[in-house]
Amino acid sequence: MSPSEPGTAYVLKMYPRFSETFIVSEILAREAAGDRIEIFSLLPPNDPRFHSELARVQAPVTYIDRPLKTSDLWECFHAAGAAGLTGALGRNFAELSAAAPDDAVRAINLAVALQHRNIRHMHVHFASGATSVARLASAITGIPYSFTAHAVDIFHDSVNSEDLRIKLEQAHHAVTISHFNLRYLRRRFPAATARLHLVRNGLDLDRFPYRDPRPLGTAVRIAAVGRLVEKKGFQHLLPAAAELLDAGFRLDLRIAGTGVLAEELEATIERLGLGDHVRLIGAQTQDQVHELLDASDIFIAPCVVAADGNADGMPTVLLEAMAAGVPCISTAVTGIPEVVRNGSTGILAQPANPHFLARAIQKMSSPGTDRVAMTRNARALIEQDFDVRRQAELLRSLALAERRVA
Amino acid sequence: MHVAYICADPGVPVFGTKGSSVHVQEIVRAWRVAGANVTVYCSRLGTDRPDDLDDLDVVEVQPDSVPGPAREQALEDAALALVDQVLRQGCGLVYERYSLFSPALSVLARVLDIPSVLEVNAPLIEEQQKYRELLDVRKAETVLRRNAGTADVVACVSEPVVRWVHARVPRARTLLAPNGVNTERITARRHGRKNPDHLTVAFVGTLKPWHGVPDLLQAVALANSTAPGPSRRWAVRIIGDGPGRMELEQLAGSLRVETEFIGAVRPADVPALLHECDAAAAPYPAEEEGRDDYFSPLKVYEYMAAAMPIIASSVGQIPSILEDRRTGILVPPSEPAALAAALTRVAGDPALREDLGSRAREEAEKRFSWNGVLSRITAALPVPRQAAWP
Repeated sequence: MSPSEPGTAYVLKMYPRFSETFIVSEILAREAAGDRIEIFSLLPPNDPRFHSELARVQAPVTYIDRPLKTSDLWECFHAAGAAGLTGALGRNFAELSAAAPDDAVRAINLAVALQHRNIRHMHVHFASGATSVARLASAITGIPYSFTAHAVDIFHDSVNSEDLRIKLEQAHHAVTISHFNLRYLRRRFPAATARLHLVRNGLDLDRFPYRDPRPLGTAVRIAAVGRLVEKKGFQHLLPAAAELLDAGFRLDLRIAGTGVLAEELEATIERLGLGDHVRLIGAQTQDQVHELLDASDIFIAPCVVAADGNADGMPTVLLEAMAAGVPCISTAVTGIPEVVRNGSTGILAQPANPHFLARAIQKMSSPGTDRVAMTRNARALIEQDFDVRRQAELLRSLALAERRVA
Repeated sequence: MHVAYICADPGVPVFGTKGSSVHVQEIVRAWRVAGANVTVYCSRLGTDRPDDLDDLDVVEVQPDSVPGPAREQALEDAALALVDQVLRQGCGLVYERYSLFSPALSVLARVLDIPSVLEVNAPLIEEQQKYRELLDVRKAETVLRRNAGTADVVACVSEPVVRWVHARVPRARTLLAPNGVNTERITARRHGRKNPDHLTVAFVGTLKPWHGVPDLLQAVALANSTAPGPSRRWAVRIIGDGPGRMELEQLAGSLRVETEFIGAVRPADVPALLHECDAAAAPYPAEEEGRDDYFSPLKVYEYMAAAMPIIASSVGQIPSILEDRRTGILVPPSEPAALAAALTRVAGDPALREDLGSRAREEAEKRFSWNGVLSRITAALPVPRQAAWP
């Protein structure tokens, strides 16, 4: 790809990040569609594990550092001057000085890095910090920005309403990943959401071939995947498993992922005497997750709204399980009911209720439930609404569209 | 069973005094009588909560008040916010009172895979275009198509409404479910005449041209002109208010018909006001060419429950409600002379008055209670599927 082709900058808080596979899928799909992409990451990766798809990304990565000493800070200003940005910095001084110091300096460094790179547009994932930096860099360079609002970046208690409103207002456009989010943001910011669109996270469907679920064996194999944090709801899954085991239901539950609740969950497993049937198997690569799904009879995503307002938007692994033909159970949290339709594409349960989770598992395992019909419906829905190639086209066309006056 | 009752029309306050508000409350009561646990999800709560619904769970999401097309979008958004609430709380059945911009039923029934009922009371799309303003006609049509196409039962208040739904959504599973009456709230009047020196005929309703009140006044004047004595003469009591009131007052004066204008009252006060009368009238005028009378005459059911002798025009749904000379007296519409003859007959026959009244009451209990209306609707539902949550 020739650098003379105007490109799109992806501004990311940390790249690569193990849990954000949807961003890698999106970049790959855009590259496949002919977009020239460059990645600008505000932090170096902190996790040595990589998914194999990363190797296919062509986009160069530039890390935007921040100075630790005053003299280094002055180096930033010199670099900005050398890049011809002195006037632009001056015009935006008030905005920069009002911003968080790290964001402001990163914005200057990003602006410098973007000069002479033939970048036409910036796209950012998550409306939080990375979008703050891109917004300021956009003010300095005049390069328009857009962002994808997911969930933590709009629902968490710490989200500053006024800050989010300004980001929406100044963006060339914004996208979000579910009807639920779209409605929520429109209600909260009626005047700033005229250029907000629904673009779902995409899946590379070729990587998730479908097969019908296999007949159940003596023990029902259940998989759950996600970071071990409150919003994933695994703390409700353990008592559900205990209830089922007490009732004589045979199951083998594996929970993949790491996180702050690891110890607490281990302790619960021990306390409830679940050790023979429930295992925390730690973080898994994409391939290992594939294998886990392939060997499971049920996938469960027992998401909840956390005490701080944080909630999952649309767990990627849930979509992957639905694509691959694993019968899925999830909960009515934010956008999830838009994909898990009770009785049709899976079973939807009320959040934060172990007893209902147990009944959902029982129901999904009962001979009267047409698991094959459910997984085929689920696959059809994923193909229709979550094909990454289609999402990449949407993102591309939104960036090309003339900016409408709000 | 947990029922989510959705009323996303801000023009229909759940706890209001309008006929539509009463309708919502009565269906909710009927669900509770049937043993359901009901949560109402609405766009406007209202302020007149009846005592017996004190413990009813109600979730209100008010639409943003914005002008023009944004208003219609805001109505849809508010309905979808109600959907989010239902999804959080779960339910075993969704019952939605049709409103122009709420896609709630089609979303919930699909996502939760639960039985659903859409209640349609009027051809709102045309009504809105004619009397108010409808900007996004296509959206309104899409909403109706999706909701009526999804619902297991589309309960229509009259035959014209059934035809209207079918014309737009041919595959809709419609059911004719006319209005009903709460025979416990509206009790029977006591036997015997109320005044030795005259009789009183009551009218309940809004004073608008399509209720035919002028015909009633004309008929009373005619009947009184041939009455053998004062005790067989009629006075009129009008319970209700509306744009036609001034003209009616003038007309009553010029005809020298003694008429009492009570004005608008709370639904709870209607029975006692009816009980002080000797008969009740529903003098609907003749249908115009091209106009379909799609309403289901709530007042007629109320007269029946109050055990009134009823004189009503033979139009629209009325012949299917009242049987002539058994539970009421039917007269040709827009013919004051025929109405006068009926009044004269009723005035001269105390036994007829009592018979008509008590048979009407019996019929209301047997055929027209809200509990009966609801049980016809639920009988048409498919075999209960799993409730969400499992």
